[in-house]
Amino acid sequence: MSLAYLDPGSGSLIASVLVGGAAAAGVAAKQARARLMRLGRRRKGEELEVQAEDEATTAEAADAGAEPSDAAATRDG
Amino acid sequence: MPSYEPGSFRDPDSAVFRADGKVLRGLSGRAADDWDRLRSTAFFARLTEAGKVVRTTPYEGEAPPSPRGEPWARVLEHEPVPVISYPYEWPFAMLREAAVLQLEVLLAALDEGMSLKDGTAYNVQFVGSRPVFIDIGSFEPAAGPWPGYRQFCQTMLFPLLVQAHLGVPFQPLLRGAVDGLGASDVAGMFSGLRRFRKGVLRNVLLHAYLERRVTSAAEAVKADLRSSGFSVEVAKATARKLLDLVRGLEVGKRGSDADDEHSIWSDYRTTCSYSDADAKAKHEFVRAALEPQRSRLVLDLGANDGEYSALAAEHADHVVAVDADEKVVDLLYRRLRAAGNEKVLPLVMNLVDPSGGLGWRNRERAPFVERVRPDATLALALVHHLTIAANVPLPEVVAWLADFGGRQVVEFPHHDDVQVKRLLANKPAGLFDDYRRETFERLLAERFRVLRQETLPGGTRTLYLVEAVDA
Repeated sequence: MSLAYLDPGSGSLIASVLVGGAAAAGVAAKQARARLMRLGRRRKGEELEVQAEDEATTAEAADAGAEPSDAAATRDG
Repeated sequence: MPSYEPGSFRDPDSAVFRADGKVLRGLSGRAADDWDRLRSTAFFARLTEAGKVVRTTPYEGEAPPSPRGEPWARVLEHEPVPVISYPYEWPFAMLREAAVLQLEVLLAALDEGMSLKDGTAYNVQFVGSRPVFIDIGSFEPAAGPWPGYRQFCQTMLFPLLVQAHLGVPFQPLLRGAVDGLGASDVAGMFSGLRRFRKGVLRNVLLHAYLERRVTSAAEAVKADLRSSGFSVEVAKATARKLLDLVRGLEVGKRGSDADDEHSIWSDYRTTCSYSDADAKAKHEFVRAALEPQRSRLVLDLGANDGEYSALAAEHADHVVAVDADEKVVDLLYRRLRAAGNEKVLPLVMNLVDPSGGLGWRNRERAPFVERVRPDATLALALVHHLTIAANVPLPEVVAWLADFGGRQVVEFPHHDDVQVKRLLANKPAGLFDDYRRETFERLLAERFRVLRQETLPGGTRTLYLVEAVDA
């Protein structure tokens, strides 16, 4: 890809988050956790309704899929 | 006839134009929605009242179509800024003050769910020593990290870091590029232990690294960051960190009482050659010249510590105090700011190399002489520096002064003045034989009416009160 088409603003956006430092990362981690909790609660409700074991497996997989955002948030500290 | 401000073309949703002596801003439909939201916030009213954001009201009169030929959804009227100045004309403390204001405005906006879409130093102007945020079109609903961070770094933070940490004045660098200093260029300036100076590792080195390595499109990165939980709170954290950093930046020991950093001109008042009688007579002459007719704008060329700017401010709405010495102008700014002065605008500029037209088509940032149209000008203890030190021929100096028009007080130090002798000592003998009072008076008479003249008691300097002939 030609350099002329790259947007240097992309790196700046991430840099600005890192400048926010521990506070930013902390906030992000908290929000990511809250999102996970909400996600978890929603799934629990679904499980009770359907009462199927394979649903739990799907939820585990979804949890695993959600992890990277939390990890990314913590890493940025 | 309305005319679009050449510097405001970059935002497709908003543009500034002048009509009937008013400063107006057209808004697209999207920008009009943002404006409606902005005017309902408490911070906007609070910052306007405090003079930190330009006073803005809806405008009901006729408006021209946008530069794209479409009608504006909404038109606003801004309170005009008396004299437009640019960051490359500001001393260190002035750019720092502008940066602090930009971050304060951003933080106040974020608290009420709004943000700034950009972060350029050109968002700020000065009324005397008071910075004011002028880019009303920059407010938008907040979402995720601050999109203005990059521009803020390039036009405010990096210039401040370079001067604070490396002692390199930023004005020539900012004048060299309207978009400011790039992260990778600045990274190259910080070597060895200097990389560990406050604010450098993250804002400069890491920033430069990420600019090179992150190749995703900016909108995709924004979406990723948002979905990872980086919300408005992150922008707040960034702005708070930047505010702490910027407030702590300082050049040498300028901020303290024990100021041991001197420049050629910073001690001029105490070391210059005027006797008390000369100083008193000069002061009286200038006062008598300005007092009878109140001026809209006085331009003080070679203002030094601003003594005559202060005198002029008593008889004028506004004064522009220009000097080439950054240190002197910086100290003047700090004094004016501490006193809450809103009349005197101190600017750094070499008069032999004034700011020209910069940016797109050389029109985006107007030349100094187009922005500053005084009705009175002071050129005190200046002519000999331009002529002898900078080799500008005497007829050129007089022609240049005439370009400013209006009334002027011009001081001519004779060839036997002690300061003139000092300057002549640096030059080959005989080179400035035409530097004579008679020559100067003849040139002056060609372009000005001489209303009054007085030789100071010391006998080596003459002051002229003149009026441009075509005025």
